[in-house]
Amino acid sequence: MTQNSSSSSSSTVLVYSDLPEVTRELITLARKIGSTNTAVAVLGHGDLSDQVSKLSVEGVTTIYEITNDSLKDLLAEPVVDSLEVIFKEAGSPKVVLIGSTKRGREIAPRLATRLNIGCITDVSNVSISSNGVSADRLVWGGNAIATVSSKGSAVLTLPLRANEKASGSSQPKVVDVNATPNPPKVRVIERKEKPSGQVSIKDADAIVSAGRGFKKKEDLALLDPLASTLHAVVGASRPLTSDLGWMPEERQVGLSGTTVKPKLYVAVGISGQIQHLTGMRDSKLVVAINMDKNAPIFQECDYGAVGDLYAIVPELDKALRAKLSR
Amino acid sequence: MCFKHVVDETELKIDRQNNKINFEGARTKISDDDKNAIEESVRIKEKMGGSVTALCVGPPEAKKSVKEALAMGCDRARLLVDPSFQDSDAIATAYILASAIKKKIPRYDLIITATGTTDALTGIVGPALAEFLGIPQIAFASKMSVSGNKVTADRSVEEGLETVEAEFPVLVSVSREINQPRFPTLIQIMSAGKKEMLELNARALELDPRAVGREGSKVEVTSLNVPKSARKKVIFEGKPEETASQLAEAILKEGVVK
Repeated sequence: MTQNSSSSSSSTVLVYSDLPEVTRELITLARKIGSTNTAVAVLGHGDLSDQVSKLSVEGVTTIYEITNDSLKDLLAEPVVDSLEVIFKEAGSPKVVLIGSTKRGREIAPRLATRLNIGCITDVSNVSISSNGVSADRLVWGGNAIATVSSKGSAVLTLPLRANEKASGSSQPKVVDVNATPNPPKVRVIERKEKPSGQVSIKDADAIVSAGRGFKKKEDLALLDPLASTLHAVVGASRPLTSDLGWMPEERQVGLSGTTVKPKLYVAVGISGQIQHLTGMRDSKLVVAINMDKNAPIFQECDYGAVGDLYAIVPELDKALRAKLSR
Repeated sequence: MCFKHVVDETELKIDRQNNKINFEGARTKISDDDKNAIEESVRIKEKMGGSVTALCVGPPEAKKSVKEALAMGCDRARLLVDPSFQDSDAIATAYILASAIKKKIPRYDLIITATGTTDALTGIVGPALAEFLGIPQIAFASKMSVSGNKVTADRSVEEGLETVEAEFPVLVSVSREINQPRFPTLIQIMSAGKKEMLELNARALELDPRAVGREGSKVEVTSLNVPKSARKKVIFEGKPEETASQLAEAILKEGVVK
């Protein structure tokens, strides 16, 4: 992380996410980029004191709180109304950090448009400069990294889990902001929780993922013994989830699915479309099995096996079990 | 509906040695997910009546994609093209689209976009356009239906699946799983040329020239690099049982298996 010396005098960073644990990740990043005044927006309805105290973590200097019935579902329009007021209250900071949750990705461009400032989404490597903010983001399906710079203030969205959650405690100044956000024109009529008890790829230590190399849905069962030996969760590439429907969407690893960072990622029959690579790039060890020697996945793996997955997967499981005595 | 004409990212040549991306000879296309947006617009029209106008901000070459959108079933198209639009960032692009909608489309109920494009994938244009127009938005719709003047949509958020609704006018950005885009028939491709296609420039749109192009953009790309892969890239080839055994050994050596 670099910080331009010209900004060292004082810089306010405003952070917001609809999910408090993501807000704590943003607080960590704010400190890394040299924020001297980290302001947190806490929005909701009813009594928010519990949230305020949970977000009074190390590094936070000010908490701006707006409680209003319009903010019950934290939908884009009232949230943007609220953040507009807080942005001005906080002295038009140079940087606004928003978590890249679904709601966050809806809010950030609207907020930037409302405030007539820049917007840079899904960034890494953020730095504050004298005239604005600079950050990296993947473009061209992850084939390239663009460094994007703003002229003046900007709203940035940050991928989830890219930073540690801030902890510890602080005694921030709590400002009860007087604002009346408009009620949202979008109504939530039903919300189904994600079925519980299901394994999630998001937090898995090991993932075995399937791609187009599988000829039919039934063949995916071939991965089960290997996954079990590796204590891994089974994931999939976009074609298998979005296009073929062989696996549920929540198992999709990739830019349009879930970004994962397990200790071990095994890509089976996945060619390595950039949209997929982007979702697993932060894995500690990447292993690939693919028929095509020239598949891009072999440029992005630590260990690879060229060959028929139908032959290699059972052999790999056998070899692992023999060596692990499982 | 709004879509983008992009360079096909799968045709780019990546030169890792020289840290360069070669765009030469790469074909262009309608951005993948924008086809889902076109498809959904046409399906709604086929079911509910009305008409679909396709809007595209792009260079003169984008006409090729505009024709494809017409072949897929859009009724008319507007290509928003002007040298001054070049290097517009996503918000400036949304401003161009908003200007076209305000000035040239007297009445609309529904705007459909994708969630992002395959080139820059900023995901900014949809929500920014809704903000410029002062209308609500439903992003990441994986299923949508229209009845009367109301849109109902399903979308997945971090906590689960949400069903939301809003009255017209509303902008919906759809995700890829919403449908399977059609391939136009030869007859549809042939007749696309007869549909109304207008080119509109900055003057026709009466927009603020200071709000578009590089000057009017609040962010700009200052450098483009090829990501470096720090992977070991040890590749095994041979008989399956030998390859598998070497692979197993390599994995276990790393100490990542509990």
